[in-house]
Amino acid sequence: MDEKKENGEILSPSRLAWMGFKKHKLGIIGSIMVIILILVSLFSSVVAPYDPLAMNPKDSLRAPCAKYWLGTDRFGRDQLSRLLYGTRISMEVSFGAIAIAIFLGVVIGLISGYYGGILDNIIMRLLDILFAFPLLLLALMLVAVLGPSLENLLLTIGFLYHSRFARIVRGSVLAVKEKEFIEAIRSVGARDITIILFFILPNVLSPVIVQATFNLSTAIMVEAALSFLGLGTQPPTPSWGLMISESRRFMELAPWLAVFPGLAIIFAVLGFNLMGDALRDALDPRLSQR
Amino acid sequence: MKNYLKTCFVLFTIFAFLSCLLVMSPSPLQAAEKPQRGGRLKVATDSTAVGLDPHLVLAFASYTFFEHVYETLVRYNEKMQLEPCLASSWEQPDDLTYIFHIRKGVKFHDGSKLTAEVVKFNFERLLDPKTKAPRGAYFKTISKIETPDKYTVKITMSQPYPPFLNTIGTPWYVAIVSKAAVEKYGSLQANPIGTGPFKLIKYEHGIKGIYERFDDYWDKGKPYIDGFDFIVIKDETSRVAALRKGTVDIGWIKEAQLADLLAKEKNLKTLMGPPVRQNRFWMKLDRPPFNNLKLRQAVASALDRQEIIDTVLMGRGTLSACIPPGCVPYVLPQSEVAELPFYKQDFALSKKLLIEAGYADGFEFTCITSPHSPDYIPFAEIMQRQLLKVGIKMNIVQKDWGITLKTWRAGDFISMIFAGIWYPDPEGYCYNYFYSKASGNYFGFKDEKLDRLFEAQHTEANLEKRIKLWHELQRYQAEIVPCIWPYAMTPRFEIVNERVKGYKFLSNNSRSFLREAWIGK
Repeated sequence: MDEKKENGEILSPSRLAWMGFKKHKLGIIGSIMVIILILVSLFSSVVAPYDPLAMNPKDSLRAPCAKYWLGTDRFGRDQLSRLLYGTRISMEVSFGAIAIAIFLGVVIGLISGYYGGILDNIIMRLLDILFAFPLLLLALMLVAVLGPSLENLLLTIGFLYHSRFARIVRGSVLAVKEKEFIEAIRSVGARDITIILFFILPNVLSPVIVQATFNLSTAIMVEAALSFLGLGTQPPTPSWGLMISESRRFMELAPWLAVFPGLAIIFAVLGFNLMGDALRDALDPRLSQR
Repeated sequence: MKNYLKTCFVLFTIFAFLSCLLVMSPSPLQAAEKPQRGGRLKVATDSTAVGLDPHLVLAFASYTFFEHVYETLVRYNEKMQLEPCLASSWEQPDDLTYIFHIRKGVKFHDGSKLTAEVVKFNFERLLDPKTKAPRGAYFKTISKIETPDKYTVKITMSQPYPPFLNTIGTPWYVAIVSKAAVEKYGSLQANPIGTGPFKLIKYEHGIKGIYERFDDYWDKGKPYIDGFDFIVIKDETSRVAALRKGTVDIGWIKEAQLADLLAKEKNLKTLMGPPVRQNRFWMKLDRPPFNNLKLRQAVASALDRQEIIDTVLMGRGTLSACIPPGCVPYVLPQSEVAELPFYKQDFALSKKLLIEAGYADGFEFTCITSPHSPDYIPFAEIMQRQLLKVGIKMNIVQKDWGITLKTWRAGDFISMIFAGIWYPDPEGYCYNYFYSKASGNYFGFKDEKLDRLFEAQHTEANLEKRIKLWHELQRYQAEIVPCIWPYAMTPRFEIVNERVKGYKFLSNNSRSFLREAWIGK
């Protein structure tokens, strides 16, 4: 089997996964991109050359130059600084929302999968209803009701994504709970909560991690889309979607205003996707046997 | 003597011959400018009508659709002065009486004839509470409508009402509709029948209206074109693309940046009206924090209006008092507007006023606005930045346009940003909002001196005296800041293809001059 190397050493699953991941060149590139994004969002105040909110009307709509590397917007705000700060907003929203989604989704999935029966049926049909709606449409409706703000954006995206995690977790739980070791634990008198938290949960986490990386990238896009429509981050907070929305009227006069936030979104989405691809290959035992 | 007569005769003949030549010879310049009949135009608009009965709707979008179908007793020319239309002349024997002589031989699109009786019917329909005309209240001072003969209408007022003529000259206040059509259909929301130069022959809601030349139009020979399609293109950039490609001949845009861009196109020209559209920063004036006069003054004096005009409108705007510069003859000269109290940015003054208002540490408030017009959010953003310099924190909340208006009418806000449109009389710009008994006073505002001034101008029939009152009103409102008017600008930028000749754009966004438009080669 794969678990034995030529020298006969037995490898732990996590080490195995790392080796699988290392083989994936694009995955490494993706991870580097993600690390850059995280670093930028953590240190944006250090890296940014200007205050992203400082207006300087005399320098409005400047093309990229030595003073303003990526040009300025109509208020003379430095585009580079706004992009760097925008990274923080994007990361905040995507990580925050996915964290909420994972928490909700895993809890629901574990309960639904472990107890089964009518409860499982009810939960899954409710989630089906949620799945039936186009995600962005539902997000629009929820944000319009809650009112546009960063917190509501986080909650909305988190709520909408939890169904995906719940489904994956439930599926895995169904498979895991029939295994002999669970039966063995139950036979020694362990309580349900112990079984769920300490024996089932660790075994269903890897698909959750893979799903999370993919959803991080779509969450970034949903955030950008909602901000573009004026329902996400509110001005003057720099956000990629909002920047594109503001720049759309200057498409011909100042194309750099639309191009760079667009590139930033591509960079982030690509990074998370490449990393997700590699993670999936590394963590999925069936794929690694190929 | 005989010789003398002969010379005279010869000279006269030569002179007559020459003058004949001069008159008959086709000057190339004149020939090119002579309007030509025929052809259709495509005109783009940005929003769709909600109904087409001028007495029943309030929406400006409806007006853009029905203004070609209906006419008024008097109308605006391109200088925004009144000229005869359905009334061939009018007189005002005293402050309370108006006599209109109705034009003879005018036909409605349904074939019925215009008489004094029909005009009387129109006014009565507007005033009848059963009609529920949203603008009926403007005419409550009318006490009597008489028709001494078939083509004369005499209107008597209970008190002087100076805006009367300007108001009835605006199609969305008193368009004259066909009595026969009202009796037949009840409401004209779907069946507009007027005397206008064009008939609406097909209307597809949200898509377009197709207009055709009315052959029995009273102004013989006009309109020159066979008709036009009025197409709804909601997205501004799509409208720009259509104009550039020539798929539409006339289209308006709101964004100054796009107007800059189109100014470079060779086959397009930009028509602008005088600055009559004011952006506004509205405040709820009967609850904290903006019930505090000093605080309002502090906010006003923290603003750099020129910087706002430069960044939001690329300089295509002007300073505005409570009535915009286009509101002649009532408006103060621009040089004096710049000198109005709290119109200059003065941080020291602003901070001093904040301390006196009891907000030494600054304060925080929310401002509701909408992406509906391109200048709302940029203005909000730069205002936010300017206020921050004196420690005032303004939080912007974007809302859907419909919700924004509803919130405003309900008076459920701290502050809001959105613009107003042209009005036929200075009253429209502020009397309807800040007079304590006005129906549009959603702000809970009451100021005794302002009320007195408003009441005085409302019934002042002497123009000179009324102008003086309005000058005082402008100074006084700058001082008590019931609202902040950061700038005024042209209502729209009307972009017209070169092949369209004779077309003019009015500052009330009227496209009534399509009746004079013709298509060049």
